[in-house]
Amino acid sequence: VATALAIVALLQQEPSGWDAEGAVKWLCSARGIEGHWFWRWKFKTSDTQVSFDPDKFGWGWVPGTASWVIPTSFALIALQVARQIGLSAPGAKDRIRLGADMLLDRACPHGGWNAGNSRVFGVPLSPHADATAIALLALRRLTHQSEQIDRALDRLLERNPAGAGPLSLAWTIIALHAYRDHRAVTGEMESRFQELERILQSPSRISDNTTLAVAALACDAIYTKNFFEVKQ
Amino acid sequence: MNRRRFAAGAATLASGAALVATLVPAHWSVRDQRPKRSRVSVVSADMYSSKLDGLVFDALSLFSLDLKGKTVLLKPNLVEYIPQVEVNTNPQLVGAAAEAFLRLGARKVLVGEGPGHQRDTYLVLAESGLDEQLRLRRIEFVDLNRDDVVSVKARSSYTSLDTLCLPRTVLRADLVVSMPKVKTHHWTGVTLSMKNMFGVIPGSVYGWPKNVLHWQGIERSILDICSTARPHFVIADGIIAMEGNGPLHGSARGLHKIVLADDPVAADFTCARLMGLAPERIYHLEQAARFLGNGCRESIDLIAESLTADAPFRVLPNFRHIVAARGNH
Repeated sequence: VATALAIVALLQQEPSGWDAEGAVKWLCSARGIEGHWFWRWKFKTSDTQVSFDPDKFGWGWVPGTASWVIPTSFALIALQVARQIGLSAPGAKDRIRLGADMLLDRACPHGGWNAGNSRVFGVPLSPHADATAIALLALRRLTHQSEQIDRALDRLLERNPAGAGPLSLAWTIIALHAYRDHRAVTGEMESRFQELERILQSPSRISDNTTLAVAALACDAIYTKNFFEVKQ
Repeated sequence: MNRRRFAAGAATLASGAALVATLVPAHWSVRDQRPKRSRVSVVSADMYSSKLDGLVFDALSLFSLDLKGKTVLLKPNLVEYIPQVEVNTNPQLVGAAAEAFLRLGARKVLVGEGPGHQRDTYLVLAESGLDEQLRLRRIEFVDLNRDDVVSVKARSSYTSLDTLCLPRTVLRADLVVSMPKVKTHHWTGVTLSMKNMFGVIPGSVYGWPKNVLHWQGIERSILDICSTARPHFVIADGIIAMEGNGPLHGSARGLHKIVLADDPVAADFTCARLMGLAPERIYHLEQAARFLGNGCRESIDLIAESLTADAPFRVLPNFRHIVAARGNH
């Protein structure tokens, strides 16, 4: 995750003077533990309580662990941002395709994304706002499966902005901004941004640096630049 | 001895040591942290209400804890908010516990948690109603997923992790109180005060859902976490518990009990017995009773109600073996 976020940040602010190629190469070679045949075989034969297709794998939070939605999404955004400026690595195209397939495979049955799986012990999981928003950002230019995108946007939009946590709200704004041309989003971003501005006026509502940073990135998305928007 | 024979000898010695290390039971190499005797109090409570303030205060007073000038960290089980489902430690009980510790002389009471799946801690805090409860009582909350961390040498070796990164707030607290929701768990059989300590592991280091520990083995990780950051006290919420496919998608089960204890192992053995389960058949409990706390009835003083159990809690088929035979609760 750290490498992916560093690539996204540095390539847009300081494209030269650091080993961007090495970082992209490393990211391409990193994979969730399902990337190893043994674990794929185990998940297909005996370890089946969690429903997913082990052939479709992305990235984990930490090396040596399974693929999860948010690290996979950040890695996909980083590889696409790198590709936009002509930076790539061997196999990057296939790796991006596989990661996107993993996200689509792990979407919740009713739309959106939970932390990493869609069903556990047969029970469908509910979407999380931040995971859904970040996965939508990753898939912006990668899928034509508009039904899954529409349902994910519906899940984001049905949440009451006043009840959302500041972190979820900020990620929602960043994602909606990237989908601002989508018919469902039209007119929906404003109320959420007003709610975030209201929260930012009472600093006690934000207690950690991560939330503060994502809130700042949401403001950036509205006023200047959306760092997580993958352009065509 | 020539160089080749020396290298071969060293390699044999190293392999032998590695083999011995894997064969020796993990608890052999751990300092015995078991107290001579443990105290457990089982208190009846029909529902969540403001009456819990008095109930928890009275029950806690029985333990005569020395709290003067101390910082107490309450660690509830705050996983995720699912409408109409009792997933989390009830906010009313957390508030009552905070109040009781302050009334008994604690200098400061904090509430801290690092949810496993849900990265937006403050969203779960608000949705669960805990935020409102803490504001009302002016109790500070710490997001343990994003607290400053300190690397600490693990005190047991059930996993291959030599060190654990733990939140500074947990290490600085004079008294860490694990406040689990009494639930069955689809991976570990039960989730009680020891499993609840998974929540002190920071997501900012280990990811969400702390997947490093899953790959090390959840039960083994519980043992390493609890031997390294052993909770000092337990207040378990068994008023409305959960059976079946816990910890998120089980069914509500009215147990109508709060369990207080000065030993996490004694607390978990007692809760499991109340659930009609056999604690000695639950791996992490059975292992913990060898070095971390007391499990056998002879070492546990019940200082309030006696232990009675209804029909056993429903468990998933893979945990049928942990259900106690009738009459053995």
